[in-house]
Amino acid sequence: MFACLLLPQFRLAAALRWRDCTGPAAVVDCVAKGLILEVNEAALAKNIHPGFSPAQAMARDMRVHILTRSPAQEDALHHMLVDRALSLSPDVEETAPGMCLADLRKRPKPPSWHGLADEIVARFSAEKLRVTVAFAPTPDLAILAAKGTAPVAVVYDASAFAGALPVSALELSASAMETLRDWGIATVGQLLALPCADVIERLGSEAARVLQKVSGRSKRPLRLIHPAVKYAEAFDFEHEVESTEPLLFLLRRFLISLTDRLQSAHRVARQLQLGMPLDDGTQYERTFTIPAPTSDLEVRYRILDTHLSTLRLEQRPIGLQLEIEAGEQTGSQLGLFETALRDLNGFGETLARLKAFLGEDSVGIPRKIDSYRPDTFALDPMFPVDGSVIREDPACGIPLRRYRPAILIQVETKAGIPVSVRSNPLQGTVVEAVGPFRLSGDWWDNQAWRTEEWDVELDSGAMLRLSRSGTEWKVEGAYELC
Amino acid sequence: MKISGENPGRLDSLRALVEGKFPSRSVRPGRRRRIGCRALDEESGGLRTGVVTEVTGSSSGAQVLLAALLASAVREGFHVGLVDASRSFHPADWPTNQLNRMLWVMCNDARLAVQAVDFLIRDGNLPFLVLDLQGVQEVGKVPASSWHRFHRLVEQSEIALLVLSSRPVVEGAAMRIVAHRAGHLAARLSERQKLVEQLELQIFERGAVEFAEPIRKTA
Repeated sequence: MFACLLLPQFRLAAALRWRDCTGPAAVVDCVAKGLILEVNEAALAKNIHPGFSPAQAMARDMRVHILTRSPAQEDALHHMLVDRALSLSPDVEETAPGMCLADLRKRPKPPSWHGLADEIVARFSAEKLRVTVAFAPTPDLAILAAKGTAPVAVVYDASAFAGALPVSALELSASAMETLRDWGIATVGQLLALPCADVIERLGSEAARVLQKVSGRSKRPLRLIHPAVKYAEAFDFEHEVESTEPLLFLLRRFLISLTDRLQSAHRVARQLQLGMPLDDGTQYERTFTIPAPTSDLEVRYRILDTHLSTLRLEQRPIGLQLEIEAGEQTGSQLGLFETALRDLNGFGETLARLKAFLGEDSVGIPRKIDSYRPDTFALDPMFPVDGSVIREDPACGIPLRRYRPAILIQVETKAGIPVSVRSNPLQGTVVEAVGPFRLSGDWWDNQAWRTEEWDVELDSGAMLRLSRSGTEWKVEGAYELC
Repeated sequence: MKISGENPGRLDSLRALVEGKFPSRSVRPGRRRRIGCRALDEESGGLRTGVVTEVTGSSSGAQVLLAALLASAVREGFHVGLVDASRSFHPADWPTNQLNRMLWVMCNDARLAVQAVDFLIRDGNLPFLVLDLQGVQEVGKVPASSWHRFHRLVEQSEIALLVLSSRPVVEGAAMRIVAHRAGHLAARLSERQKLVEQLELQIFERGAVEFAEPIRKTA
């Protein structure tokens, strides 16, 4: 059996997604003359049809909801459809936007094809989406069955199913349809009863292709895809957004949908990528790494909530995109005496709060950088995983407390050696000086630097690190404050 | 209002009544964790968890005490949070394995640092928090209510909060440590572990006698 999953009126379904629209609605393509591409049943009832201009549609009914086509939302919806098809079988063909074929011949036969189809329809219905599911012995018959009016179609007998189809379902050219009408042929069954060679001779290669499709004897190979499944959702606002509430509301709905997909695939979220197209044409993007990959919706929502509640932008968002990078659930065994963080995601959330409160570059795990330049370090976002034993020389001396920025001071020298410091609040006679420690680096480019450092002890008891660049002296830090 | 010493029997019964009514709010006596600093471990049994400890005195002594705490974090596999109100921590002077055990939070003033500590206490993931207020001018502006809030928060947890400051600022600190100078310029070549071993501390603990005199002193 082959399964065909079809989202009818795909472009309209994508544009209507995440909107509570019950009345007549139509989607227009701003590129192609702004004409209506697809309409819903309520609009059809008002005599609004594809090909109308928005003005014509509004002349029929002022309440018609005219939406602009959204490629980002179509892309997200199509990926969701592919993901659902991949949950049926690994052999999937992306037949068209909003249509997927799955080869089910390698999977065990379900107790009931109707039951399986109802299950799929229910999952789409939970997301307020209408889907048509068809199972048939050949891919082409599955497509033909899915294009029917029923949400679920199971074709057991190919010839009986094809025989009952109207010839209009074959999507033949106008001239071929006219010829068939002249012959008095109304159904595919009547067409198949005619001598095959004669029909092809009269109607040409088009008839050969169609007859092969409906005969149920040929099984064309699927153009299989091996996609990296994308867990993404998107939404284009009709107006600029002024506050975070609508963003958070939508993000929660995105996360509910994406979490359902992740859990179906037994996967967890490792990273969140938030994107917001802004009204000046730029895009705000931010990636959040989840410390302990999880499928918990609340953890992910809190990360986004914390970020958005402190975000200030000059421009207003006109859209919202969320993509989840999925990974496998991994478990790690702690050492016998290792004390891990109790709640890694809770800790990650606290770090996000601290970063929002103090600045991105103010919170982290300090890391030394392989450089002789004084005061160079990096901050890592999370504690490293213990694995290797780091062998270093034992630490020596009293750790320095660095002044950031360094304080400019007056230093009196004798034979190049500091003898007194004269600046408020640091002043006094130098009782011991160790140095100079000459440092330089980056001499090969225009970032070259050179400094001379001294460690001094003043008569007040203060122990300082001084630096000299040319004639300028600075206090870089203190071992002992005055 | 004077309570202590007036009528201990009534006070005990009041405590028992509160603990009976609100068992979750009852204060557990803090454990003591040895951090490998002889002056502290032998005399006081280590750092007390569930209380606020204030370290004053010499800045070099406080830095050496922090070194002992980080060395202990590496040995025992726990993590430490350092909230640095003057952005003065210098990673180059610390071994990588100790840095890997430390969360560094840089703040521009004491007010922000206090709020950052509040976040970390409520988070509860880090068993040791160090608030470094040394060299911060406006340390006196931290409202007393902040310290009382910290007392209430940490006593419900296993967190040990150390406040490093140039002068006593923490109202109602359960433990006060006065650190002596860790050495002179020549100490720059000494192994840090030796400096930890030689560190001199004066330890005062809140008890029946309210900081009347140092109850333990190490030479």
